[in-house]
Amino acid sequence: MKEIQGTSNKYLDINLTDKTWSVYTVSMDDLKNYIGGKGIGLKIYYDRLKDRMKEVNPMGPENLLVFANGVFLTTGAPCSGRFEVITKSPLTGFMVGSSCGGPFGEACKTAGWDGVIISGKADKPTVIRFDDENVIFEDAGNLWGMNTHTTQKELHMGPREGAAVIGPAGENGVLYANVCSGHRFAGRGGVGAVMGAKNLKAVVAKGKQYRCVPINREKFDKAMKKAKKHLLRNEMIKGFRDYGTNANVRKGIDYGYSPVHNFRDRYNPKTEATTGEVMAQKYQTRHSTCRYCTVLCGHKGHYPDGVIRQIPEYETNGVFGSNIENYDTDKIGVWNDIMNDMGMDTISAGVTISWAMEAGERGIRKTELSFENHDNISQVLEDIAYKRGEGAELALGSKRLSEKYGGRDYAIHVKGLEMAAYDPRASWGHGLGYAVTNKGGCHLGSYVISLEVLLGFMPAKITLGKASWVVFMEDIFSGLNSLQTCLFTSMALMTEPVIPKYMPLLVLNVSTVMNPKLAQMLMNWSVYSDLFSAITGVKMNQWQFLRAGQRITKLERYMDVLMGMKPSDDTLPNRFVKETETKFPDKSVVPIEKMVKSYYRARKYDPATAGPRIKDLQKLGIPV
Amino acid sequence: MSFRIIEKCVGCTVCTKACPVGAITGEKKQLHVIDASLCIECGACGRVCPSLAVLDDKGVEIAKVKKSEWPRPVIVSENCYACENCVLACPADALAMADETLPLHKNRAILAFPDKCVSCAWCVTQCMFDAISMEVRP
Repeated sequence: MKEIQGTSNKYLDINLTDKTWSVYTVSMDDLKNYIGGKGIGLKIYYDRLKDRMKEVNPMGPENLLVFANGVFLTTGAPCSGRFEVITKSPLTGFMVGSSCGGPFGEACKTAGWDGVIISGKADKPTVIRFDDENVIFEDAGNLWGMNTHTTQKELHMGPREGAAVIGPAGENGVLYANVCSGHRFAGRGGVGAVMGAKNLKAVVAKGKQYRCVPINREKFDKAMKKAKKHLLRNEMIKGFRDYGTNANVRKGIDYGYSPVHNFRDRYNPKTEATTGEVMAQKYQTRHSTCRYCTVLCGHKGHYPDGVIRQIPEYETNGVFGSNIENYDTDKIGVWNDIMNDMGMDTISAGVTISWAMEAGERGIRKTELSFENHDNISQVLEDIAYKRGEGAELALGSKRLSEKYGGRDYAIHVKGLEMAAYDPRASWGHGLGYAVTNKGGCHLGSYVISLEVLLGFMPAKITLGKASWVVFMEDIFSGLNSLQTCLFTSMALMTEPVIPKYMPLLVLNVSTVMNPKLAQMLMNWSVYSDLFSAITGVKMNQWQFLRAGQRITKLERYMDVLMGMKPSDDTLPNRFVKETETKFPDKSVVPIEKMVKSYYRARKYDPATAGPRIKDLQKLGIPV
Repeated sequence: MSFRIIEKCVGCTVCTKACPVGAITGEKKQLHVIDASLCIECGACGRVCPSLAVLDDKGVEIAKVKKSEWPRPVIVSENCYACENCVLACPADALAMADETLPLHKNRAILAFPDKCVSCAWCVTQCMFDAISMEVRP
């Protein structure tokens, strides 16, 4: 096997319209400034389309679909078996980056490519196969129409190959269709719909031709030793390892962030039946993870019908559990399988369905769906994928439906992207994160609920300091999505170093909000910049890493503003801002207007445009 | 350059049986051929070849090694977190989980079928917990 010192900096640049390809080389400046993965993917998109951002039709041939690997991949760095899919989202009309832990990334990287840029549109359903030297365009033939898992089987891949594929939802243009690789998904924002619109059924990489080797092995090994130690001893990671992301259900019940009845109620005691602890016992769960994983949050289990299924993630469990008043986890497991087969985002599907249930309950739209009856959910999910009957409308997502029928106050989305299963009335910083994250209602833009509730580092229902934390975590996460590594690693790697680990919780709770900048300085994320430096040979300290994260976040925001994002898009559904009465004792609502203003100040955004000022972009070295 | 078989091949077919991915073809007593697109470069073909007719990717002749002297994964149970990634990565299906009836924390990966192992060490590179090393064990 040949060796690549660091990373190849080579992208396969494919035009589907005329079936040609070339090599795009990432400059060392871009590597240092944008790190890789999401950062480089955004930069490529921006460089090519910056003069017509608004005009790009997400479903048109002019939209780019970028598969971007990070420098961590295949070096043995922790939780690094990931790749990012970047495009203009058909669901939001803004940029989307969706991360996936499937085998395509590893195969692509070890074929010698840091990523693949796909432009144009094939004249008929197509499969792309590539290795280090050749690209082959095959007729997708019978694969078109097959579900995601059958497609991968029928691609007849050898042990060196990995694929990214779509299912019927992507083929039929469901606006929240996803991309599947192995049993993992680039779930959010409709990246699968873009792939389907390009008539692209699958991309198959043949890898194991190259091995990526850190340039500074000694520094890499030293950083890895620290990273593994912290990841293995961290209590929050242990919870995920034991119970998957459903470890979060318990705290949702206790702290009132459970999504209940289309996010109306915040609490239902029946949610106890859906906790990670209950499911671990009930299904005798086993690990079923991403490649190179040390967190091990992905689980599978033995269901009563004899089938071994992937245990739904917390977000799926929430939006298809308490949020539609279903407390039978067997059903959620089956529905999760259907959505995975069809290739559609479980969060957007669930929250669109819960909106339709409430709209039906209130009599503003006729529907077969109701909170009392779940027998038809399987059928409805397939109808969405094939756009049959009511499914054709549900395939548009909650934003478009509420604009047509009314019920915007309880359409649980931001910028058109449905929110995940954390009610922000229990975690105001997290609420701000939902409102301002570039992608829309994504819980992983900054995931401040981890600091406010899951780790308990700061009071959850005050505004003080929260803008600063959202900014900080957004920049860290932009960096992590570019390296790429799992965001959960930050829960251990940033909190296990001595100062945050041994500081009394009371002191942490005061210092994090009274002086957030100082508290952030006491955290330590140098392991990420050390690993980046060791692999690439490019000098970077933790502050330069943070600045690169800021550059990526602001570039994405600027691209969104060019695409038409307005200040009024940075908000939350009225349900979280006005509805105080729930079934949870606490009556708090999120003072989102005030918090967004603080965020704009902290970001130095122009309140008139919601975006960064030109001078700020220039200071960051972003070409405008 | 990929692994290849040179003219010294006597067509004994031993390599075709040793290859875990069916990358080698050839008639008995004829020169055999490795399909580079399938080959995983484990070297098993070379280690069983009586004619020393297999060259590795650098063009170096692969020495014959008794199967009992092939390095195989040794898994330290205490370090194993039962993530199953080594089992999934194994191209020869030589690894498996010890016992599906065990609780999650007590389960572990084992070399269930040592005869199938081709010493590729893919399991070692997949393991994030330093639980696997390649060793020659009697």
